[in-house]
Amino acid sequence: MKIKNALIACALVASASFAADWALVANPSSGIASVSKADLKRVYLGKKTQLGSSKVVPMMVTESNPAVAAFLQDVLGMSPAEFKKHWVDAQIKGEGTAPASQKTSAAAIMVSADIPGAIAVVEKSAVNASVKEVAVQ
Amino acid sequence: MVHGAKRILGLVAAGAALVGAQGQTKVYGFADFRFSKSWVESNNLLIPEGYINSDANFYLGHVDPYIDWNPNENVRALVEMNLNPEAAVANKAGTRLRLSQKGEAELRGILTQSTIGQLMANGVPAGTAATMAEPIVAGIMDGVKANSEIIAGQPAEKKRSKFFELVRAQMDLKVNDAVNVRFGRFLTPVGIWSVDHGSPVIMTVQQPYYVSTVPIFPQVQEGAMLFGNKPIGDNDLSYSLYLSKGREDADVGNNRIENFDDLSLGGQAYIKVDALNGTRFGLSGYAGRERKDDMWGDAPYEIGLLKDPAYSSMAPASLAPALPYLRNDTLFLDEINYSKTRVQDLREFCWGVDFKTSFGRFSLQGEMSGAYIKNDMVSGKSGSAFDYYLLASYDHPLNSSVTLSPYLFYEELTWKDQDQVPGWSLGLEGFPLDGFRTASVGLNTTLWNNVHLKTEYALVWLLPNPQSAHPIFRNKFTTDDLFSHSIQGQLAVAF
Repeated sequence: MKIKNALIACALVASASFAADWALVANPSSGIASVSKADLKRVYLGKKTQLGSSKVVPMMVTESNPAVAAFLQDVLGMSPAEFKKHWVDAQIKGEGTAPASQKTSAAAIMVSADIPGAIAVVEKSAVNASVKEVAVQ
Repeated sequence: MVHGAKRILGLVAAGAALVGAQGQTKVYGFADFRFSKSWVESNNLLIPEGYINSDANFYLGHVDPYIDWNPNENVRALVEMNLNPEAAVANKAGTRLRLSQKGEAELRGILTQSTIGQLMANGVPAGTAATMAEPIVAGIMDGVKANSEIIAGQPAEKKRSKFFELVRAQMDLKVNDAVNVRFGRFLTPVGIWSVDHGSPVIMTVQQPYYVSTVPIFPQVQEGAMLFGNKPIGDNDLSYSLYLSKGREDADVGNNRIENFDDLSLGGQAYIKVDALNGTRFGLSGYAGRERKDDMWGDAPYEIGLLKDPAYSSMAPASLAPALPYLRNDTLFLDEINYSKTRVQDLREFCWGVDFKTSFGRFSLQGEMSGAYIKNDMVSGKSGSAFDYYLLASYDHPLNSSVTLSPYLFYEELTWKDQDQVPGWSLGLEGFPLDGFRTASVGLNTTLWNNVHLKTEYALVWLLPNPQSAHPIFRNKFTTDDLFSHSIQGQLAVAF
């Protein structure tokens, strides 16, 4: 029984670790080296369009991606459904539209590498040298 | 080379979905469809005014498309339209025209084309109508006078004729997150449920009465606004400050601005704090002028009901050939003299406070607002209104696609001394009422985040005040007569 519980615990830890495996990347020309969770939350909820003096264009991989789901929970405190609802509501209120979502991390990274000001939430394993990883504190 | 081509293709595919980038135009919006059935006493005084009825109705509530254009990162234009289900045009002329300033040209045109113009089209030479007028008027003046008395003072009615109504059309210029400027026609930022007007955003079927049926604050305004938000630690402060031409809710939009101090001034500030699962507190204010002039057109010559045998028999025999061309309308021929009469000059001051909080899956929100209306036509006359509501709800997700949200809602709206401020947009002038209360219970089922199926049961009590009524209404109604209840259902979709 103890072994079974330990296995379940290990599985949960592994799963949580996998789920949290996200990274924030930015266009290489970006002056942003790090960002606080509070500011990042504001950016992805549409309340902030600048980080420091830099204007940002937020993007992400679709909410169904486990890494993005983990990002939403870690930083925004929301489930993917709550995040979608937030943006449906914001759109109807006239406050703007949701951050762009790309189907894959590779696509999000490719676009981020080409658009000045772009930042994107992607799977950590997909990060490459074409973009700059931003520390989230 | 291959890598480069793949990269370009990838960028094209991925970039097409880039939201928030410059130069994009997007179309989205919301729609809703409603069912309602009410039960009311047959002598409820709001029946003849069309506020309530006991029919079971299906009807289209909204189809509101939005066009959202971001030419660059500092500019955004948003247009929201509303499909107006009452698209029919109704223009009804009386023997004495009552014209709004904006309606003048249209109404004159309609009258000319439908009467004199028709004569011309049927081959009667130009000028004949005026020539005919003298003998006809001389011959049937007694009949015309009698007819005029019957319908004297009957105003011309002009209803909205637009298939689409412009809810808002605004252009935003961003300096930074804290400073933005908006120009155009915008929804008044007040409380929670003013800008949150779309049915997919609203928990209940019926919006609070203070923002819908009896709007204490103006619903939309035209002018300029400064707005933005500023983080304060973990909290967010948002503000808006606007200057506008004032309220346009009730009429075709003839609020008159004569001096700079006739402009309306208002604003809102709210803070979202990181308490519980998110809490907001807000304050709103508005000071404006509501001023209206009526323009009257008096015609010296009038011909009424010429097809009516009682009148046409009085016309000289020489005019018999012309009679078939005349419609059964009142006809104004020429020399219409217009004069303006100021019928309303009100100064209004409105205030509001609001809060919203969540703890776990429970949410509670409420708003309180009031208005003080000063009648500048008569010194010392004023009226007031007060409203509050509370809404409690609970979100129960069944799975990632379906959430059930039962809710309870209560609102009370009262007004005082409405007879001191004639023409005031609030209250129901001449009725023996001090306001009403409403309570409802409902279930909002959210499907896939953008579809809402709502069902609601609501009670409404009118609050009678025999002394505030026109004499013919006094003491005619009991509290039971003024009670109604209803069930409503609504399907709301964000698209």
